[in-house]
Amino acid sequence: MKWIDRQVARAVAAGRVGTPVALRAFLYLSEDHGRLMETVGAVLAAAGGWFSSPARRLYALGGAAHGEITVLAEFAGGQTALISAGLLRGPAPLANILVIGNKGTLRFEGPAVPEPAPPAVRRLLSAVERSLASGAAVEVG
Amino acid sequence: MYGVLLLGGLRTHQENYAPLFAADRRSRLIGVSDEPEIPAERARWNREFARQLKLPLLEDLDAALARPDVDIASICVEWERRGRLAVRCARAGKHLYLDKPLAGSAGEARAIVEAVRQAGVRSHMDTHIRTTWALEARRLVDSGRLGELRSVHCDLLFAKGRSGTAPLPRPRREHFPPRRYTFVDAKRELMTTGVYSLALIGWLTGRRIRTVWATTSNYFFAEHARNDVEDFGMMAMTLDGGLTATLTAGRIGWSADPMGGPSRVTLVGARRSVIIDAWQPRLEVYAEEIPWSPPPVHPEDPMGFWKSGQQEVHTRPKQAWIVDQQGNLPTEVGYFLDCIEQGRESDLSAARAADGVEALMAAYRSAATGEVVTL
Repeated sequence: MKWIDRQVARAVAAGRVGTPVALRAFLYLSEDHGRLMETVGAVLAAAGGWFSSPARRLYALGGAAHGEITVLAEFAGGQTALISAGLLRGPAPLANILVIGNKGTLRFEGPAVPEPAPPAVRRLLSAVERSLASGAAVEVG
Repeated sequence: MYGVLLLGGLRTHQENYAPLFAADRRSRLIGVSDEPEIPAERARWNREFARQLKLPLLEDLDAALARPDVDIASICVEWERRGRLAVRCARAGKHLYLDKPLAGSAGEARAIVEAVRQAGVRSHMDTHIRTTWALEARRLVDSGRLGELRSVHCDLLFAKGRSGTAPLPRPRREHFPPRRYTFVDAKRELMTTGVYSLALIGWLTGRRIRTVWATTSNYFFAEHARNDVEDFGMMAMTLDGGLTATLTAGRIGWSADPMGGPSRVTLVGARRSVIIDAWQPRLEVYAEEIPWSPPPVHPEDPMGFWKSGQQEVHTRPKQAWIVDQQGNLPTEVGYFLDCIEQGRESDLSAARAADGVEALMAAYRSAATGEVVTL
């Protein structure tokens, strides 16, 4: 995931797709239910970096028991991200990432290695947990 | 043979449907008609369409609907007029071939459903559900190979229009109910493209949507921002039985995709998950050919909505990928004629399509309020 994060950040910085405005990501990386939250958190954090804007509000669906966590997030600058992290149910870990800019798209599809979410993600994960528990959209805080 | 009355002409999807009815040996085109008090521009496009197809322009709609040789009404008028016109056609005893979305409000959609029920006619809304990839998704779900279905995720984004002109960053302020949907240079794109995905989700799962949280945005086009309609949207939903579903919908610009735009469904099952891409399988071509470039902007069709508009500015087809999304399958028109002949309900009747309109209205309400909306 670090490689993807770095390459997307470079392409964005070079202005290759204009201003990044939206993200659609699927991550089926691990058979461990316990890693779904941190995978979602890591991608939310990466998206905030690509957008240069923090997540402001989000709504989460599913849960570890469901086998997939999906988060639809709004960022402070109006960008949006729809991220699904699910259990590995295929032959190999798969990440499918579509970064949409106002003048083009960046895409990655291939194997990826899950990595521990950085400590700064704690605030995002707390919001995801609150949304899953309440069934409501929540401010990231 | 079924006689088909075309309601709406050029600059509508009638440009796509009429040739399919004309090509099917079971149907023939009778004429082009519409309501009497329509804008001059719409009247001109209808007249031109009738001329191109060498059909009569039937200006008296009541008389056209009273004709015994008209069995089917193919309805492609502007979304804002669709509800009342479809009801009128159903009450005249005509089967309805309906453009998507079904109508501009949940109330109008329900009125169509009721009129169809009372008249005992067949109805079908055109979408993607008879394509090879959608049918593959359905086969996979029905086969049980995925295990219990947990989630469905749909992405449909149209790679059309000259993007990069919308003022950024500017979070969109949504209104509910939507006041207007269609303009010459813009449409509400969550509704335009989201309707396909909602139809697919309903058809694949057989479940009804219960809650919706949605966002609408202006990311790409000054035209959409100027008309105060979104060019992009996302929805996150719960369905009966604990299923979850999401979709992305919008128009993202000519240069954002090698072909028509991302189009895929991701199925998450208890045993297996798959991504089914409408652009797979494909043959990719890289050669010393003139690279594709966006067409000039057509003043009457700047977003590339219509086949006629794109032909008039000589838009070259994108040819980097060779794909066959229809194969030898019957077209949606052929499927609808099968339903009429065999006296059976379409998989995407007005009643099913009305569920999609209800979900879209919930999405606009959610985007306007920031709340999760329960249907």
